[in-house]
Amino acid sequence: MTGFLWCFSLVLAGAGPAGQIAYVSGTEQEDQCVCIVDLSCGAVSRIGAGSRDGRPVWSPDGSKLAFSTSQPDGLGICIGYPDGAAPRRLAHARKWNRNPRWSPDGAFLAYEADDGQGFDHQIVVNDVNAGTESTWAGGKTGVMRPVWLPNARIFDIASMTEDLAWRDAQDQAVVNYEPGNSPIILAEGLTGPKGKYSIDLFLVTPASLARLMPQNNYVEWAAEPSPDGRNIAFESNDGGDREIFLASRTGVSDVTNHRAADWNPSWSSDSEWLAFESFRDGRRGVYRVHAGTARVSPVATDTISDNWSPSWSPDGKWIVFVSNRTGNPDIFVASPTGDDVKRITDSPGSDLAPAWRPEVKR
Amino acid sequence: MKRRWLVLLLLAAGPAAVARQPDGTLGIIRAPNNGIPVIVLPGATFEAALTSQAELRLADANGQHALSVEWSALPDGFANGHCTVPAETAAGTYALEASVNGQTDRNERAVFVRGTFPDTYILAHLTDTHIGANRNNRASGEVLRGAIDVLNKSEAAFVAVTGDLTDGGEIGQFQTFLKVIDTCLLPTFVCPGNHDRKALNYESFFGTLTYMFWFGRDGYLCFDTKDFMTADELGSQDADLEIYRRAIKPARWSIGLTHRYEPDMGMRSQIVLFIDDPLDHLVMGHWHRANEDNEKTVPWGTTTLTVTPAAVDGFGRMFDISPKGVKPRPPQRIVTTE
Repeated sequence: MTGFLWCFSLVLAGAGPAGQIAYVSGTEQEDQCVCIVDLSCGAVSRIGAGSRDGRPVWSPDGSKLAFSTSQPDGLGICIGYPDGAAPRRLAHARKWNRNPRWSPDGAFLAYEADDGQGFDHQIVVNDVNAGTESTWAGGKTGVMRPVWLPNARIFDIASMTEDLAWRDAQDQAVVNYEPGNSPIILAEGLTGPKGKYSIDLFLVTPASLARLMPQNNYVEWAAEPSPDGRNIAFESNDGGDREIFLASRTGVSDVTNHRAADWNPSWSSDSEWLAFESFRDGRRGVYRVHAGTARVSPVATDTISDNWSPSWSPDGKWIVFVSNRTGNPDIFVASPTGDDVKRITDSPGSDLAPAWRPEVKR
Repeated sequence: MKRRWLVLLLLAAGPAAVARQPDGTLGIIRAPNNGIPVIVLPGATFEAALTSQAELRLADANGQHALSVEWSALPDGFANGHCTVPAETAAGTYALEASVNGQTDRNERAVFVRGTFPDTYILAHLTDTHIGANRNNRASGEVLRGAIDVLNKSEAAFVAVTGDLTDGGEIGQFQTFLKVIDTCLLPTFVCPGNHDRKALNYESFFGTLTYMFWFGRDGYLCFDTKDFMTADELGSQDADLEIYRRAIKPARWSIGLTHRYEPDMGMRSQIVLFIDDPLDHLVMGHWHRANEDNEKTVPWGTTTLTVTPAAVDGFGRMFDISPKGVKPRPPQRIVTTE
């Protein structure tokens, strides 16, 4: 589980990626553990609980990580600290708690919670300091994968178009949002009759939820707001296969149009670029697209192995990703143009779900 | 977790055959094997995964057939052999043999050569064999042996065994499973279940968790998602599912073989398998009972679901596959457990 491979040459070259990357490492799901690799020396430290640890998510100030891990009969959310302090397990009312996301101020964690009884997922928000849970969306079920909106820029109600509006379950516009008031969560929710479900994007407040876009026949997923709050990237099978779309105040557009599947968008910190996964070259590869021009270019592709889980460095000069090009999944970084590829980890198991630590504000 | 490269091999003509060491785990030949065999026509091709390039041949009691092989590299130094079955090869069951550096590796029941693929055929489904369990008066191995004896006399084209092959994922239980399953005269395709997940024992005996194969114009996708619960979040499995699902998209019928499906399994997997390109049919076990009155369905629309009771309790089920569709017969008790 060491990342020394590239460090020596990096010192000689005098340039390269900097900072810390969190990731999950293990030989099987039972021993998967959140780790951090320090790019200055390649040293790896184990941060997680080490039992089915899930994708780590940095707090906005880079001081801590949230991830799911085993709890009796399910999964719970755990907070880990890069300074080596003991991880803290949150208390939960429900058995399965996963996909944690930090609020913009780092004071709250939103995650989906269920008891394993089908689509009974609810959005739960945890006041991290108080350790208390509250259920959002008025307690409605079938709501998954929460992510906080960084601000209210996208909800300039005066200029909102027909493509992007607050809508309730009956597809009626319900503009009850007060800019600057309560924080907003973006989430995916089940729609349609039982047995013929679909998934749409919803805006979630403590008491309610409303459609982001008019009801359609497509299945949306993996919504990610840009850091500047001006766009929302999401997947949809509109067009026959999975594509990445952008929603903004001016409308909705397909930015990765291709007959192969494109999924899992990841924003650069300047909100200009999206890294994503695509099967357009046969295997799963990492690509990037400029949000303004929709021009796609490859970052990490291969004909016999997979590359996935892209995440940007805070300065936007590097993309970290997972590749199994050497046999089992390891962490690599490359420049956004795909040049200067460096292997970061070399563990005997799988190294997965990398996330670059945000620049720590002092 | 050295299993990911194996899934690269199974796209073209179907999965490849596996060689086994004295303890029953995989040796030089990783795929195909007697849990993931290939079914081919004379003159057709299949893919084999080996730890290194080797001389490859088909072998049966009547002799050997050298294989023409085109090699390509796989990650981690392994080798992929694109093998052509000699056109004069007679229909039958063959072992795959590999020789390299004075060592020979042989995997029984790895390659099944057929004269033709019929438009109408029977799929035999067993699930939850739970080798090592003490659920009934007869030992689980005896029950499975009895079921195999019945299937050997049936007109089924092949057998799918969808998980919980063992009761505890122990090495000895997998060894017993292999010993019994090798009495089957039909090709046997397996996938893992929750009871098979102990360390990487399943992988050491069968290689990959996810694969696809063709039987004539029908495409089969074998997987286990529910019990690989972190796979969706970490992206460990979804590329394989997407690539295999796309590969069998032209199939007359696309059929999923899995241990269990639950609506709360990872959404990425469900999007791939049941939403963007819905499988026509899903076949599973796990419940140890049938899906009475369609009490549960795949809730995304078109994929139909059939649940077969446990083989350890003496049950199995036949499916009639024809131009009209995938028609499950009622589950039947095919062997006594007393």
